Amino acid sequence: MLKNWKWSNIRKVAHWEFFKTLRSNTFLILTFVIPLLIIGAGVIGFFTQNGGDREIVPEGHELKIVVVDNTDSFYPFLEDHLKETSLDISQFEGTEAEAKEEVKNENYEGLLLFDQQSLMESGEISYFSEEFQNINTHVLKETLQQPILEYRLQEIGLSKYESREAAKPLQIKTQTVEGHEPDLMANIAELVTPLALAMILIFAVIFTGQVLMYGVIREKKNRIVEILLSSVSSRELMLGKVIGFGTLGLFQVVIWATVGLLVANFFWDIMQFINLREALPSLLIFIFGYLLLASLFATVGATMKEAEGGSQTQGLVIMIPMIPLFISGPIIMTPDAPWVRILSFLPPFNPVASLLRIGATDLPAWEIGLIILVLIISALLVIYLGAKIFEGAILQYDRTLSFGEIRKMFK
Amino acid sequence: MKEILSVNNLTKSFAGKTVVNNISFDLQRGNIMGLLGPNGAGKTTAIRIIMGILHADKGKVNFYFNGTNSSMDKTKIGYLPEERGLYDDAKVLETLVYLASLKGMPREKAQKEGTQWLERVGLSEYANQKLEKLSKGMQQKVQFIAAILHHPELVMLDEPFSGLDPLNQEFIKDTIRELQREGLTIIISAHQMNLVEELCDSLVMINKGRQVLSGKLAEIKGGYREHKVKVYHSEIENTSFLQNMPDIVIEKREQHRTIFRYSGANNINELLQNICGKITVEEIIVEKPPLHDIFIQTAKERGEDVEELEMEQY
Repeated sequence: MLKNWKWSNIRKVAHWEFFKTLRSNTFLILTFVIPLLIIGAGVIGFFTQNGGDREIVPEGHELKIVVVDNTDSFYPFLEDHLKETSLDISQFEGTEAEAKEEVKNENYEGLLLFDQQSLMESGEISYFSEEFQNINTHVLKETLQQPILEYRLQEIGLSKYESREAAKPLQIKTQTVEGHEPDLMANIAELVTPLALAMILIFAVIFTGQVLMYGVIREKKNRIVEILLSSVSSRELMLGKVIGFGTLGLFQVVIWATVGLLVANFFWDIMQFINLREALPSLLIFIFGYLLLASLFATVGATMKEAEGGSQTQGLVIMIPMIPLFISGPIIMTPDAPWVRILSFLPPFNPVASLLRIGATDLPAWEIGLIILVLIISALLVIYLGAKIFEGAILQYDRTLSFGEIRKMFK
Repeated sequence: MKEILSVNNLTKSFAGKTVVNNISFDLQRGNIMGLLGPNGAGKTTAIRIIMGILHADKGKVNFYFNGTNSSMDKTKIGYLPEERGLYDDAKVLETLVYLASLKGMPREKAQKEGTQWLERVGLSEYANQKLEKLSKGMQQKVQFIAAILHHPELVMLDEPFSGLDPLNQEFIKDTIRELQREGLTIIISAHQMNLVEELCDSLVMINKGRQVLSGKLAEIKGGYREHKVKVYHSEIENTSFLQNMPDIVIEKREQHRTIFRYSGANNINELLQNICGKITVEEIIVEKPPLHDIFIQTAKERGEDVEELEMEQY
């Protein structure tokens, strides 16, 4: 299959496609608008995620909550734990009605009311406020849980020391049978990197794959394909296009990923989840998986007459490789199940399925090598089929090929 | 003179319809050959097969670039397809350099000579413009340059004159003659036979995929017995006597002019003397019939359907 391929021709086509598209307005907009969106999403995400905590304890403004303790004995329990919370809690010296008036006058942002019945029986603690959107009840609950438990234990007869010991929060210590403590960060990194790559793969293919497909449709439509095929073979042309657009797509992904990582690392400590050694097989699968999916798009483009027709078919084509992403749960839970193994070798599911598997389990080197080999072979096969269709479709400038016609080309 | 191309029994069918049927010809190095026939005759399919873009069902195409039978070398062939098209969003000179580089020409050389060609065809100011800004005629000139920029040994021009105004048609004709002087071998496919006739050394005429006529232009015309005679005279002259003369078919009788075809075995000089003896002739033009007429007549003689031919009249 490769014997008649002139690499100099493939390189020239790839070079042309890369730089022609690189300078196009569509590419420039897409490449630089997406990072802006990433930055925007990062900023919004950061403030949204931290919103509850931040709102309740904003910089320089702690949420002031006043306590009315009708038991006359609970507040000391609470006071012992106040250093562990970010809330500004203090006891009110007055009646419940006076405290409510203070909250109403915005001297305090909230009022907590404790009495024997709510502490010992119902467990329902009343909180009064004028601004409920500021309340993160989770933080409030976390602050009150421990002192209430200690208070209850003391009420049923334990000493202060005993009740504190008995109420100590539970902790689970995980370790391997050899006694090593697991590196939780490394485990997350193993899953996050391939999963992120699987997502990026799909996005990259959606964006650059369609540029590639439209490029093929346009070359057919504006008739230049005949001039090109008088100089290079259809296979050289297809492979050159796939490599050119593939490199461009990867270049675009590198820009997006760099901006994404910088933004993520600015707001969160994301680098702890990145394991470059573990990421290498995933990166190779990503690159060759991209090659396969991009070839698929170019092949579909070769059968199309109009970009409009192309976009509908593109929708179908993109759905098929995405299927493993929809069933990522079972794949991650049972990465060595026979059906998952088959899926990770079966084009066009293999790029996404194998990325998910590699995140969920430790694949042996031979299996990773085999997956990559299958990806390369299937990509070349798709390019070969695409070239064959391209060749046969030259005379069909003004119409989309039917499946019957495509079938005949391979007879 | 040595052959550069030999085509033997080329046959190609699409969906059961034979569009090229047993076409054979040899092309001599440095010659211009016309591949002539009406629209839909199979010229473009034949050229695509020769170019290696399509595969023949039957037959063989042999190239002799180095004097011996060699495989097809796309870098030595230039091609102007019938279906015109270039990258709308790419710059003119960049496109020329890219297409020439695919033909193996070094980029710097292509850049230099591409610029010279653009100057020559009056498009130098568009070198760095996108192709979409050029008119159709201008784009066609750019495509013509793309076909010859890399100094091919053999050029195939499929309908090079279609869509061009008379001025540009003349320009292309002059350039073709110049390329021939430089030693290029050229195949011109055309349905406008009058435009090609004056350029060709040899021709192959096809109709409905079949080869109707082929050979050297001079021999084809020389072997054709018929003459076309145009007699210019004053309005008082009566040329009705011509109707009764043998082997004469009147085509047109006007006040000052009578046009007829003569296919007699006798020397035409005798006929001309006879006419001059009967009327006062102002001017007389005798010529072999144009290729268009030869084509129609030959096709008719072969029993082919000539009514359906979409011949461009001139």
